Amino acid sequence: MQISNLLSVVHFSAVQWKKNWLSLLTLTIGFAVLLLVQALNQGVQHRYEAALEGLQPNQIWVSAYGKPITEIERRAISQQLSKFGEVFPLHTSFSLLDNVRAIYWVYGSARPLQAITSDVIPPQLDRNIALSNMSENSTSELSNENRSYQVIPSVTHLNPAFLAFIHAKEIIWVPTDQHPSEHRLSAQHFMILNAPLRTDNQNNIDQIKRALASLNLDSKVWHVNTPNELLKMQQLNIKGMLIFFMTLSFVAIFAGVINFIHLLLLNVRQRHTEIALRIMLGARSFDLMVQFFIEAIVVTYVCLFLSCIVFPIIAVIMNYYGTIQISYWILPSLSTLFICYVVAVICSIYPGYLAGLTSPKDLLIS
Amino acid sequence: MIQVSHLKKSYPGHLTVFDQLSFSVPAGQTLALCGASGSGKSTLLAMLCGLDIPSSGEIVLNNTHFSQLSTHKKIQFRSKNIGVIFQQAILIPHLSIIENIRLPQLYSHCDISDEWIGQSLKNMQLDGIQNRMPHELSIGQQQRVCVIRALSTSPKIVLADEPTGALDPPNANYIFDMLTTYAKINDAAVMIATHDWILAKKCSNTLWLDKEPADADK
Repeated sequence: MQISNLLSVVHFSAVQWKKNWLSLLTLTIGFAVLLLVQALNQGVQHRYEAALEGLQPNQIWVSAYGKPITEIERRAISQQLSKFGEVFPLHTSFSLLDNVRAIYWVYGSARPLQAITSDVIPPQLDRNIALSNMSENSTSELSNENRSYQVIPSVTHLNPAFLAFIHAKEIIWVPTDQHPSEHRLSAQHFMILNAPLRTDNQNNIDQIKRALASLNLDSKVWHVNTPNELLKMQQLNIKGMLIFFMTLSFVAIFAGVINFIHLLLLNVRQRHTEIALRIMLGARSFDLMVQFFIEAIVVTYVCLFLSCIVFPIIAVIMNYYGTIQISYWILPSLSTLFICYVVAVICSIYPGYLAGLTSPKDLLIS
Repeated sequence: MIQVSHLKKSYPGHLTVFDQLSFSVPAGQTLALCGASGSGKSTLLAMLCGLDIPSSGEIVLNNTHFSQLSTHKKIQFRSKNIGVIFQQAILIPHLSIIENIRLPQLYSHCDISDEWIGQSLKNMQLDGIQNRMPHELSIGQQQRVCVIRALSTSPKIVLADEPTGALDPPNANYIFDMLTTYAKINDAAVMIATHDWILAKKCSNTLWLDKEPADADK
């Protein structure tokens, strides 16, 4: 096909879009949601990559939920866990600073942990570090105290301490004595670093569990996780959302496909004379199917292009309400491009076949 | 060039359009196909194009037993050897004039040069309309573009189904002259279905599909 003819097909497709924008808008929306699924997947993937960078394969994470534990209990846990490797306790607390919800982690080795009371009195500044997910404005105000902060993206997650820790390149202490009354302990995490055991060995995990059980801590939920397990937990949290958006996108694309097929069938009727003329000039059924396919593929990819343009609006909304940060601009992945291609094939195959059945005899009879 | 022998076309219900029809159009000559409405002019042209199958008889086009070819071969033969002009000026509305003229090139894979198109448009007094869209032309101009398109592949056989039916006399004359000239210069066989006896007289021969009217010679 000559370039001029191809351009005329593009022009024709654009005219079709203009005429039937409402029908093809459905297809655009479907592709936009498909891009959202792709962006969410990428967002999760980035998290995983960051998480994997922060954790070594032989590290074990021990988390206690259920009730706040006392300082004595904390020491006992630390002692028990130190049998398995070097223990780095992480203490999570939540508070409000400048009306911004902040998360603090007071972090140190087993020894400075002893200095931490239940009121979270800050230990030595040069040895203890913490992390905040506050906005940049709040951070700059706090910077007046001659301390530096690492600002990370929103980490509203089931285990924010874990996420923040693994995302941070540098962990910095945030002063917590500004509003001591608002402190409340919510969870205690112990990370066993460089444990001389293999995390895939269930016996070792069981040993840790038995050691913790022997303390009779009366904590309802104790988790002993390997890094991979924690990553899988994250994956599960987002899986439902991904399935929801995936379903939504396929419903929208399906509706778009139905509309588009209807549109092309109408085209076959409206363009009867043109099709008959092409057959008279020597077009075979295959040529007509190719022609309809090219027209469908142009329209489909125009829809995809438009969905890329409107995507930032969706990204802004998702980043405002969602827990996963997605990028504002996204290029369609190969799988998305392939789905577009399949849509074009599905949409054009039947109308193209019907066009091939057109009899040019009508041109003479008329 | 065109040889039709003992051609018969009948439809179920014992309706016979024509029977034992034989004629030939040698190279370089034109044949006017006359007859009243329903006499079978379009049916005959459809069979010569390969769009309809005769009940019996044989069609030989350019030394090829056309009626014996498969559908696919007929399409190939038609795209390379037959130029067809319709009663209506049929141009694809979303293609420019030059794209419409080049359309046969897509399917016959022959080369249609810009020089040939430019010269043909000039001969047809259609200078400078290459990039215009069909709706910008008058009906007469559109029909002349259709004639150029039909002749663009230099076909040895041209079939025209009442090409001047929707045209005023000057345009009709012009197109008839164009087709008869084309037949002579290119050694082609041209067959024109028409109601216009005066125009039919410009052709080398006339074939009446029904009874020739008494005043046909006037």
